[in-house]
Parts: sequence; structure tokens; C-alpha cells
Amino acid sequence: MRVRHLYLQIWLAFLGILVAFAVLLAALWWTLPDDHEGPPFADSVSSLVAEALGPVAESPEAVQARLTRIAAEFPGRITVLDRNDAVLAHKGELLPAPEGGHPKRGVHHVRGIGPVFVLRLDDGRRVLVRVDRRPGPRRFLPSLALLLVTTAVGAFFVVRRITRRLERLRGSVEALGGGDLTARVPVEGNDEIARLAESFNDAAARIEKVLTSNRTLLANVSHELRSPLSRIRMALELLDTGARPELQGRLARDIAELDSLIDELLLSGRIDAQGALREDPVELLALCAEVGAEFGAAVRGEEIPMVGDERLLRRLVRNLLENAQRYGAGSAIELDVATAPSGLATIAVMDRGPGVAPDEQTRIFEAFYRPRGMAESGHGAGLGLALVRSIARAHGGEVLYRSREGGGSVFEVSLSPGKRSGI
Amino acid sequence: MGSRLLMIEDDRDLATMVAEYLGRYGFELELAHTAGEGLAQALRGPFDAVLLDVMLPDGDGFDVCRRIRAESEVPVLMLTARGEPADRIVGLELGADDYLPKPFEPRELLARIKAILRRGSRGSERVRLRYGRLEIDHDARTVTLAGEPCALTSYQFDILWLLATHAGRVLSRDFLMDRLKGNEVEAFDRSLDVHVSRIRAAIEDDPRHPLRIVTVRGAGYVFAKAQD
Repeated sequence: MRVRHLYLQIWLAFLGILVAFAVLLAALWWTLPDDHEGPPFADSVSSLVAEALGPVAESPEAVQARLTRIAAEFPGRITVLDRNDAVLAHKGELLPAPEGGHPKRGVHHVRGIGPVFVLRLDDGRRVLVRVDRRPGPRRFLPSLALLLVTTAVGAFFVVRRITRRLERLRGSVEALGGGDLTARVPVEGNDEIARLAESFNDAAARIEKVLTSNRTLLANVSHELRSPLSRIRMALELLDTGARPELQGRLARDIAELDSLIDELLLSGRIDAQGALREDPVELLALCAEVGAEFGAAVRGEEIPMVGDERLLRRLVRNLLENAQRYGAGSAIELDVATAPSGLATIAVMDRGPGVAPDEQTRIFEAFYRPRGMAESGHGAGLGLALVRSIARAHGGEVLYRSREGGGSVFEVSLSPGKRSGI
Repeated sequence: MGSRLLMIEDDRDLATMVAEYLGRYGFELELAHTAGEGLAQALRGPFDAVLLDVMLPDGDGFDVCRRIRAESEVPVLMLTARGEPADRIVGLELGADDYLPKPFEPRELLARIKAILRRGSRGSERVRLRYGRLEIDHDARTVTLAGEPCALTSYQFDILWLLATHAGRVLSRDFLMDRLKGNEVEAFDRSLDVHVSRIRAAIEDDPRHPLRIVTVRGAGYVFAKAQD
């Protein structure tokens, strides 16, 4: 199972380390009891105890008397054995002799009783001690659990606090990517995450500046190019062209064509700027019928209400029809609107022209591409199909060319009928 | 005519040519080349209409429009190179009466000026639809194309109004018949299609190639959203 949140990963790792540490510690505790006190100390304790218990030769009664006296206040059980494991004296219930002959000094675990400390005296007697109040597993485990829980809860909040800033940063990055150029994060603290937040803010500010100046530039370009066009158009009207009226008409058409090319350039610039697309309610069949009327195209199909940038979709349909008119060799243009099995809306523009050579079928969607054999002096290819492609993609779709059965071309555009997708 | 217009436009050459062109049709055009100058002149008035460029050296036209509108009822026609798509909406929301993108057809400019002059002051808030040169006045029940009245019967006006208020959508014959039911005795005289072709004859530039009311085979009619 993959853990999706960083804070959970860090927290789980922390808990894992904690548990592993506790387990290792416990293992050490249980498995290395023998050498937990140095021999010199144990030896001196041995002689002290031997002294206290009195000489070996004394009777068990005397030993018992001494033990009772010494250990009156001792909280636990003590059993003294002679070298043949016979009980010499004891305080409290008897402790069984450790199995396996004469074990060394150390702690031995006796089932049902717990850890028993064994001390062998120099004279061969052995003293078994079980301290009552010693923290055994029953007291130890709950404490350990409580410690674990407290640490875990504490760690959770600490980790969460650290990663919350990262999550906020992620949210801002996503907002920026989604087109909100004003997305920024508050800079908290003075660590790497704070540095990262600062870097993000700097980068976002730069992106915003570039895109804003880009948009201003586009608007300025539009103004700068269209001002002279406006003057030319006006001057043309004022000219006395009584002699060549057809020339005036041709000039007016050229100006209109230049204007439309500027429009296309600006549109293609705008499509690339994310978040600049509008979300208008559009009825696709009606739109196609409207534009199709200008080209005398036969428009059929089903009504498809969708959400998209109406101006761009209008341009898409217009460019497809213009293309069909230009290269369709005067054949009838048909336009079908339908819903594909995938749920996408499709627009198919068909003609009975000469079609497109197989090696050119992908290249026709490049900007300013002009098919072989088309005169350079002909009316501009413009951005035409390239713009169709970027508009279709901006609407979560694609444009494809295929040869038409019985001759001619089919340009099929698919569009996502819902909200447009990111580019 | 003798209408007095003010043109606020920093492109002096263009302004001079527009003045000459409009002069031929009897308009007197005063020129201003900056926002400040233009605003002062506009408020000093009186003018029958103001032609206002959006891009001015010392401010933008939207601002000038807002300030003219704050003090005067004079009709404002905004001129601009199309830049942002929001321009059109912004211009009209600020109180501009119309909007013409550059480069404009001089005849289009003339038609728009005539149209806003005819409409007169903004005082009367009438329900009116405009699609390019076509204007449909609901209250007066009149239709004009570039200022020229179009002859329609009352029933035909109802059909056109119904179509125009649903522009950009395919309207089936059934939908239209249903909505128009009982309006007029006329409805029984001829079929809907005949009425539509009469409307086309009145409002289309070329009724044989209609661009305003488009037939969608097997579906119905579409009233075009974008018209000249």
C-alpha cells in the first residue's frame, strides 16, 4: 500500500524507528543480563554477603537467624542454598534453585516468579534474590505503551506542522499551473521550506510579469498593426478611384485579409496563455449552421450544447470551411455535427476536392504550411489549420485528416463538450 | 443634417481623414488628440455624439467614457483595435453606446453613427436587440437595417423577435409554432417557412443566401449570433 501523504510517511517512519528501538532495547535487556555488573563489584558484594551470612560450618538455624535479621526490611524473597542445593535459609517463599547445575552469577528467569538474581559466594553457597518491587514486564509494558502513544501523538502534530507548509506550497503551485498568476504562499520560518516558498513566490512573480507583459505586448501589437491599416482603409475611401473601382475593392479585401491574419496571430498567442479561454455556453450545430451559411455549406447533425470559447470555436469552423473552399476545387462542402462514442463532440468538414497527398497529411496542420503546387501569390495560407488544431486541443480534442471515400477530404475535429481541459 | 461630433483619437492622420469623410455626409467633426483634452471638450459640449479611441497617450478610453457618462448623456461610440476579448463587454458596461473595431469600414462607421444619433439620448431604456446593422425594437415593434426600416407584419415581427431572443440556438418549427400559437389569425394563412422567407426578404442582404436566419436541414432555424 502506498501512503499518499508525506506527513503520514514521515510519521509512520518515525513510529517504525521508535518501535524498532524499543524492541532492540528490550532484546538487549533480556539477552545480555550476565555482564551487567563488573566482576570486581560482584566479588566484593559476594564477600560482604558471605561475611553477613556467617561461616559455612554454621547450622542452617544460625544462618536463618542472621538472614532474618539482615533482611528484615528487604522487600522481596531471598533463599540461601548450600553447595548441594539444599536450603540453608530463606525469607519469604522459597525460590527454586536455578536449573542446569550451578549457574553463574546473574539474573535468571523463573517461570511464574520473574527474574531472580543469583549470587554464588566463594564458599559455594548461593543466594537467590527476587525483589518484589522491581519493575517487571507487567508494569513495564503499559508504561512503554503509554510512552509510545504520547510520543506518537506528539510526533504526529510536529510532522503535520512541518508538512502543512509543503502542502500549502503544493496548492499554490497547482493554482499557478491552473492559470491563477497571482498565487503566492506565505513564507513561514527560516528553513528549507521557507526558502522553497520564497523561490516559488519569486518564480510566480516572474511568470506573472512575463505573461502580463506578453498580453500587453499582444494588445499593443494589435494596436500598432491596425492603426496603419485603419488609415489605409480610410484613405482608400477618400481616394477618387472612379477610374479603377475594381482596384479599390481588391485593396479593401487585402486589408480585410491582413486584419484577419492579425486576428489569427493574436488568437494563437492567446490560446497559449493559460486561463485566457472563455467558457461560453455554445450550441455547436447552431454555430456551425451560422458560419456554414457564409460558405454555402450543407450543415447537418445533432444539437450539441457545450461549454467552450465561442469566439475560438467560430474561428475553428470558419477556418475549416475556408480551407475546404480554397482547396475543394469548387465542390460542395458538407459539415456534419455528431457525438462520438467516446462522448466527444465531432465536427466533420468534407469536400470532393483533390484531397491531400499522404506525405502531406500531417504537415498541413503546421503554421503557414502551403501545399505543394499552390502558387506563392495565392491568398495566404495563414495560420488556418494550425489554429484549428490549437483550438481543438485547447478544448480537449484533436483534429484529424482522412481521405474521403469516393474522393475528397474529411477534416474531423473532436471537442470535449464539458469544461475545457488544460492544454 | 449638421450634426456635431467629437472625435477623441491620438492618430491625427486617421482623425483628419475621418473628419473629411464624415464631412461629405454633412457631419461636423471636432478633433481632440489626448484623453484630457477630449474629456474637457466633451464636457464643454454640446455634441451629438462622441467617437472615442480606446488607446490614448495619456489614459485609456474606457476611463474617459466613464467620466463622460458620469456627467453627460451624449452617445459614445468606442473605436479600438481588438485586443482583449473583454474589451467589447467592458466598453458597453461602462456606458458606451456602441463599439467598432479597427480597421473599420468607413461605411460601417457612418451607419453606426447614424444609428446612435437616431437612438438619441440614453434616457429611454427600451428593450432593443442589435445584431450588426440589424436593430429590433421590441416596444416600437420596428426593425431597421443600417437605419432603414424593414417592412414586417406583426406576426413576422413576433417570429423575428422569438428567433432573435434565442440567437445561437437551433429552434425547431414545432417550438416556433408552439410559442406563436394563437397570436395571430395570420398564422393560418401561410406556413411558417413562407413567413420566414418574407422576413429574410426584408432583413437579409441577399435573401437567397441568408446569413441572419439560417435553415438547418431537418432541425429548424438558427438566428445568427454574429452578424454584420
